[in-house]
Amino acid sequence: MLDGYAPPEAGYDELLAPDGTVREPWRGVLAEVTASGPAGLLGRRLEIERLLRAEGVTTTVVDRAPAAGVPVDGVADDRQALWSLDPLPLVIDSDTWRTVETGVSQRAALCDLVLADCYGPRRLLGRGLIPPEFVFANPGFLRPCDGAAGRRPHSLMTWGIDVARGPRGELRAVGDHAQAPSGLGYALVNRSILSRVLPVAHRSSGVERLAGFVRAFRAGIHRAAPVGAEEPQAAVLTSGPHSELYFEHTSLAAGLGLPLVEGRDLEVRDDRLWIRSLTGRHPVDVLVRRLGDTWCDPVELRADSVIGVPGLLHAVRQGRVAVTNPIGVGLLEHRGLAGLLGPLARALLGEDLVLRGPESWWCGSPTGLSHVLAHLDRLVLHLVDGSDPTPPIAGDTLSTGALQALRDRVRSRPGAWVGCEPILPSTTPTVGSGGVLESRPFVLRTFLTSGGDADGPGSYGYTVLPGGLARVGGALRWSGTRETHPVVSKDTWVIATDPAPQQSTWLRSSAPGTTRGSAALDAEQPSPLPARSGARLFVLGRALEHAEGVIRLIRTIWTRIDQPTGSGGRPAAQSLSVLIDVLTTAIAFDAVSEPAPEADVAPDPIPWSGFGRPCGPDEHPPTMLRRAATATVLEVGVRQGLAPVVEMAVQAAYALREQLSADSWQLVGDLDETIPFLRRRGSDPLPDLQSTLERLLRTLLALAGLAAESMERDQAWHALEAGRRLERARSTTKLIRSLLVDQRAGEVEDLLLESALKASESLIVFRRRNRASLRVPDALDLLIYDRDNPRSTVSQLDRLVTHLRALAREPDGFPGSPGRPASEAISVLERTDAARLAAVDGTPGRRRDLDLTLGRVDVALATVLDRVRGTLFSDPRLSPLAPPARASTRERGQGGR
Amino acid sequence: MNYLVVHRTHYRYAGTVTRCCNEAHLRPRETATQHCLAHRLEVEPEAATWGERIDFFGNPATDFTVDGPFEDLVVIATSRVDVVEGTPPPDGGPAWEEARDWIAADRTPTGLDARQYCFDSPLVRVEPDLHAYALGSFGAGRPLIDGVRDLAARIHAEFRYEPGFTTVSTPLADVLRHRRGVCQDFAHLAIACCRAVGLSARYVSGYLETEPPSGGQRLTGADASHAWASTFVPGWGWFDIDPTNDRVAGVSYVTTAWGRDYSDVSPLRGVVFGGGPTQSLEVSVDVVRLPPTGPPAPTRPSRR
Repeated sequence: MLDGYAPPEAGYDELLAPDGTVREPWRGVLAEVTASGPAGLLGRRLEIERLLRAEGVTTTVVDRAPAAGVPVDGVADDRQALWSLDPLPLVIDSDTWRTVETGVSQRAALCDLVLADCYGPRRLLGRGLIPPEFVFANPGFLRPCDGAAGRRPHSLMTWGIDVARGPRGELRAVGDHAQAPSGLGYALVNRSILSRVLPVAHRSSGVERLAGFVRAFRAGIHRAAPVGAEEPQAAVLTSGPHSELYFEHTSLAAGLGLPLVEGRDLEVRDDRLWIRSLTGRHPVDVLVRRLGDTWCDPVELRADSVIGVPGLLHAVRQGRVAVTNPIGVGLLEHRGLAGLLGPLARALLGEDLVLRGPESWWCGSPTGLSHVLAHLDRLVLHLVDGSDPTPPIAGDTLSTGALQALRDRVRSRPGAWVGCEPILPSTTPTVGSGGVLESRPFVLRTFLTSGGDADGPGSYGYTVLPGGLARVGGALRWSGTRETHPVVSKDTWVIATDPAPQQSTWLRSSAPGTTRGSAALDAEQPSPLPARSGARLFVLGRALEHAEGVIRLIRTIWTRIDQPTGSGGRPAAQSLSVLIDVLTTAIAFDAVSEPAPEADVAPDPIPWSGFGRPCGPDEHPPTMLRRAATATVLEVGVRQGLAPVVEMAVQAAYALREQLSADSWQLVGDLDETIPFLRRRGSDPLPDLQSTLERLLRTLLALAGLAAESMERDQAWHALEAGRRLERARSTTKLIRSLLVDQRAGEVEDLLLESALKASESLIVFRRRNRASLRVPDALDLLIYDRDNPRSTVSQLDRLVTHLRALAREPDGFPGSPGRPASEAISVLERTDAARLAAVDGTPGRRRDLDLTLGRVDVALATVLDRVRGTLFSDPRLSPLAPPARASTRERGQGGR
Repeated sequence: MNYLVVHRTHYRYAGTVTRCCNEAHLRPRETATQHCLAHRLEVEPEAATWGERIDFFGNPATDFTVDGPFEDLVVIATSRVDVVEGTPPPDGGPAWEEARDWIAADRTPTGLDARQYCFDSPLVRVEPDLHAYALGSFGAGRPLIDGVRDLAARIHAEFRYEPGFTTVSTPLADVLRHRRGVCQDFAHLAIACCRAVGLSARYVSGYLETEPPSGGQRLTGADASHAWASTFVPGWGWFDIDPTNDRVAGVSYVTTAWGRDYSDVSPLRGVVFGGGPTQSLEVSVDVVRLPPTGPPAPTRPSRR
């Protein structure tokens, strides 16, 4: 198996010692993993992919400017890329691990002291240990946070440090991630999956468990709470579903049992931070934020941030809420700071640095500048600003001309640059194509928290996740500390000398979304449902129901298309043409309650005449009509009608993933997979499409079943159900109105009546009750009034009222309450009855009462939708205050010249 | 000299605002030559929450929120300020290179305070052509204050005061290229030139009393909020210079706040929820010289 495994000669390989023997800690793991040969490894890789897919472990592909030659199909949106995990873990022996652990803990403790000083007395500047530039010229130094960040010991509640091993086996810290260290969620998922794929090796080789770290992390959140908060409430702040790492945010929130919120779910009032939920405001004492420093508060930081919380810094300064890590820690990501940690460790801790970084020279000092300029061709140059996305520049890859240009750039602004010795990271075996092992360089991201009980020497009060996220690069050279997109990730196994007793791993008991967990860290109480999640559930309910309705309608139309023509052809053709008209109007989905950026996706209905119906169907040969009808169903019904709604449902579900159970998540995945089929243009063979729609319908029904059978009857459920009921009531009303208001010739009307019943899933009940006779009043009674028919308008309205009542903060009688128009719609219907609605007047015959009554119901339902949007899920746009107009001499300058 | 300053800001929104959160830098700060006798900040509609604090640069700042619904927001700051003549700066002062080296080396709190204003800031980024422009005033061995006064004189002579040409986001390079701008631009320009040669310079926002035409009635509302630059003279202190008017900023200048540039001390900043697609803004400032004895209490500003 190791034949052909050839680590580079110059470097350090984790698996093989220089004499070619397998290093001790790898032996057990390697034996199991390689026992079944390349085929076994490939099989495990497939199994990993299956598990990743089943759990929905993805990264969001952020839609930047589409690359040339990449087709942009339909709505440009965020796609999900499957996470990638190698079947072979990175194995680390316990001695090496102790060094890593001590080293990163010391580094975190040191950085914590630096943070406290830089946002406090700034004595390190006076003592000459930190150049003033590192604070005052550092964009990460946020002046509004002065005195607030680093106020308490161990303000750095969590910390991510990248570690690499150099060619001589020495360990180095090559990157610091302070603001919201990413990767922890993925590291935990990696373990959860790999322990299932390599169960024997995982059990038998004494791998250190991760559960303890998660408990320490929770304790850290607890400890960060402001003094006086008795039962601290915490929440995880995400930058939203469009974030590249949204999966991680959801899994972290689910794992910690905390509500996941966006900036728009929060508000600062009375110096405190609150979650705006459907049931009112809930206080937040600790905010675990997953967005960058400057995005956190548009009032005092970036004014253009719409993902932050206005006034958050004010609440932080008042000491009423703790943000962790504190806003302002980005200061520590200054890339010149790493080079000063040695002297700082001696000055502040009285120790040498355990984990050194790459040798580096800051060009802001004359000696640093001259060294860097003299050795530019072999150093890696970084901008010191940790938030600058410019990739580092490796001198040895540059031409003479480019080197000179770089020299000029450095000279013109020396303080902005730092030069580092390149590091050739050690290599580790990775499963390559064909299942053979290849030697690839990697960097290990370690994670720390100050929440544990670690107090031994060398812990510095920090607990380290035993393992971490190893990221394997494609090329042999790792160009420095900069994030590079890894080819594949790895789980990291620290082999314990005395294995800890087996504990349930954190992630398995709380894979994304099995429970929503509790808001309090200790007390069990229902988690508040953020208003935006409520809005998304409502949209999800509506979109799912709408999709189901459209499929049923399409199915009904197909029945008509397939009906034999001949002598009965004309009525069939006429009813078909009416149904097609209904389809072109019914597919429009009014996406109002979900605010921007998801704009209304309803396409302009394509006029049916576009398919060649300049005159009435009577003049058309049935075959042409059928062909045109089929084309309309495909283009308007499926491609333009169904696909965007299913996509909207999938997006809403994705944004809600922490609310959904694992089973629901799989069904959402199934929905997602049908979208390309729905989007495809006309050429599909019909039977394929029909079976796709049947499958889609089954998925939708399964989702409805899960909601009915497995969801807790809480606010989330009410929001989802309110959406469903509203949509079904609306579509039934529209369907009846457009099919039955105009009286038609006997046979045509019969066919339409049958279609209305079929599309409302009420035909079988109707047949059973009414045997052979097909009378309009009977049908209307069943479709509108019958409370025993779960699809009747009245029973939908009843349920809608119930759900809205449960959601609304005001009592139902409140004049502006969303449920009120629904109650009124019921009264409107009850003032008349099926017989009167079926009455026909005038020639050509028209059911005027039916039209008027259902028209009023439709208006009432539109009002419900408006009110739900306006009150329950109110979410006004956030914009910066206008800057003073510089055109006015009154504001700007003095006009005396 | 006693002044009454009324600074009125009126935002109009096309739609309903449900809430706004703001930070104001409108209360004149205390300085060695200035004392704020009285200050009142009024917000219409009434603010829901207030918070007073001192910001990083020592300026008074006010955080406030206003709950809607409203379509108009009016903020009126009324201040009574006493300004006295400071000690005159030394003739010329140290050579600018000497000042530069002193600031770079000094690690005392005073030195570090001056040092923080030596670097690029959000709106002031030193580019090579700014450096070249600066060197026109900082020849070898020239006394610092001479150099700074010369810089102000050159900006005054070579640049045209033209409201509307620039916006808040116009880069300094454009101001330099087109030789046009308003007082903020000229203050930023002077600051950039000082920093380009390694000197410390900060941005001062405030007001300037405009002399009434001789014998004429003072025009109410003709004044505006103003901005100028200040540079640190080692061994003496901060030297305020107004490049817009080529004057040393003395007793007719009321200081509100200072920072690295405009972005640190904008009179009002914040966010609104809602408000529709457009907003408009109207600002007026009155600076009235009060009689030296028995000054009246701040008058209640009229609301329109």
